[in-house]
Amino acid sequence: MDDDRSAASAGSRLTRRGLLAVAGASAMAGCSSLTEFGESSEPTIRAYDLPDVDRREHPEPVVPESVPVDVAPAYFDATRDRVTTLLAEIPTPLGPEAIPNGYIRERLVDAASDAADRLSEAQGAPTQFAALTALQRARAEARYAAAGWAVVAEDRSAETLAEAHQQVVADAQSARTDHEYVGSDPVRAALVHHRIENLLGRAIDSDEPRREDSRLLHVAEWGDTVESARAYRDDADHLDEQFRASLPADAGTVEATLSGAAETLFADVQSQQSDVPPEPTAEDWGLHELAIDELRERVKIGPVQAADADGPASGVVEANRQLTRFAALDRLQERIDSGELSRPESAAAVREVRSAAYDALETALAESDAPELTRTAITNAGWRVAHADWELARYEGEFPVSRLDRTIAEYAVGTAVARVAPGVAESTAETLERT
Amino acid sequence: MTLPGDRGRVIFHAGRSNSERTMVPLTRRTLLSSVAGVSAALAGCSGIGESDGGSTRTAPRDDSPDGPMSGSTTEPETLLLRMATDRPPIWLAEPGEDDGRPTVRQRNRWRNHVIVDEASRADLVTVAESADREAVDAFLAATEFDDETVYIEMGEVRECFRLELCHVGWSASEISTDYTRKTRPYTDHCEVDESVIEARLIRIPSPLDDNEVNGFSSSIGTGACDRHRTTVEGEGGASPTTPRENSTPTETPTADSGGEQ
Repeated sequence: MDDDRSAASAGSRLTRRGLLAVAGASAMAGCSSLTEFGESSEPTIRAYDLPDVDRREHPEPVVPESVPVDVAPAYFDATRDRVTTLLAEIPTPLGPEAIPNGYIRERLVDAASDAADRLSEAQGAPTQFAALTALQRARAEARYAAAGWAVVAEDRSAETLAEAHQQVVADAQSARTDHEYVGSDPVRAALVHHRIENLLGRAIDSDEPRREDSRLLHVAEWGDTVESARAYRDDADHLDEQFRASLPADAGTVEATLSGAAETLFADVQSQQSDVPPEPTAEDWGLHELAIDELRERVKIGPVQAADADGPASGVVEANRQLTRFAALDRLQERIDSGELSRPESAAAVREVRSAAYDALETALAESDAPELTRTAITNAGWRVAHADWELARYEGEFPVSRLDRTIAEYAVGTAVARVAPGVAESTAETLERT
Repeated sequence: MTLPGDRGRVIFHAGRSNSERTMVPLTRRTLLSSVAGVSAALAGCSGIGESDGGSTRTAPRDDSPDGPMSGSTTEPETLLLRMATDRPPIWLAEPGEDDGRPTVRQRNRWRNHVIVDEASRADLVTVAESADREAVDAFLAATEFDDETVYIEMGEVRECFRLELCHVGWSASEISTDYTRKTRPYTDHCEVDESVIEARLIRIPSPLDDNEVNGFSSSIGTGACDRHRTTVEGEGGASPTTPRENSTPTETPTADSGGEQ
């Protein structure tokens, strides 16, 4: 998991930083020179000495999402076929004789190319669930291109697609109403039904596409919308089927268990709500204030009652996430109070902070009694760490150590969440089993 | 001057003082009237002249708090010239210069304008060879300069788009315009990276004085104009689609990267 390449040769690191490091995010702007901090007594750090993180265009997930159900190989085949069939409807190459307007042509070509990219992303996805997610986008992009082309080829109208979309939404609504919360192990059932609720919710809530003044592009947008909704619905159905097939014949319903546990967990959320510390009052925020505030803000926008979730299973998962954040806040505060969390003053110390975050994420998954529930609670912490890496790769030159505060705060928050997540998940699992 | 519905749109603003104006007429106009745009190397000129716009004239609002010269209309009489060129296709002839046409350098990040406030000034209006000279002459000739002014606004637009004038507002000292950017039909041949110039002659139903007008603003949005229109283009001869009522501007160009893209 740790892609720290500190052993790379100094020469190659210099080249990478020197050539590829374009001044990036505004937060980093102007941090390449010491002159403006010449008076500062603060220690400085050279970007050159920082952990050599891959300089990616976008942060990539450190803890990929998953679902404890096997996706059938035949389902993957059928989904990929759907994408390639859609793409095959479009003439290649799509030239000016087919669509004279270069801008509109480019939009379709780009969508088709994105669809192909998502297909390969699915092939290399770290989890089956990540592959499903990539294929959802692949379908939508391929349908965008195919629907746009259908305007030229067969005068396809937006109305036809809008009607099809209405049907998909109505079907997803009945699927949600009729959904049976089958299961035996309540934790696994919560995790699977959470994904199903979520997918059906996305199908139902898919909005009409944004208006395009080009009729062709408007139809293409409708194609994307209807295909996305259908993909969510299809995936929800497949997960449901696969889950049922994996259960013992005598498996019953766990709906009451899930609803009851969600209520219990949210009661806990509400009681802890008042313990959230107020916004730090210090004039200048340092590492401590930034770290606490990051988590505090996240807690504030989190759900507070079961009704905020897509359903009882999502209620359990969401409440567990929120309880994890409360526990992480406590842990962070304790570490601050005991002097364990301090600003790293050397590149080696930064390296340690980063390693600690990766280590915490790995350990959380490896040593949890409920690893898949823990995973749902640390996925976001993984993104946080990925984002901190993304930032770390963009520092340049030599600068005062406080410049790294925000990045270090992200590692610290990620670490705190990962350290407390297994314990909270265990307690949530107990609640589920007790209910 | 307030532009209706300018939320989410980028407002390009250019101002100037009268003293500057008198001292360096042409340079001032090209330098200070700039709004935004991107420079693109364009070669060749193929003029397309087309008339657009409406039929209603809006009476000056004599009771306006902005003064007797102010008013606004969503459907001014206009003449649109659209052409591939890299210089302003319409300009005022300057005595003592070659032809007075602004150079590429002078066009200054594309947004350019000329105010024609009297018949003698109309005589100085010069158009590029490729432009529809007759249409311009006819439009100017049909203007009653005692009561009306012709405001000529020029700007760059990507070849696959066109601008639609939603609104023009004016007072004795300011003129503002508001456009929406429309995608051209898929059947129109155009290159994604090419740009053209759209020059619009807009007849303002007030006798403005070129010397008094010192503020110009223009905004470009996407989506429907902020006015009730029932015509929406069909593509490739298809039937018109329903009127758009709820669309909002989505893509707002920045003043630095180009007025229209």
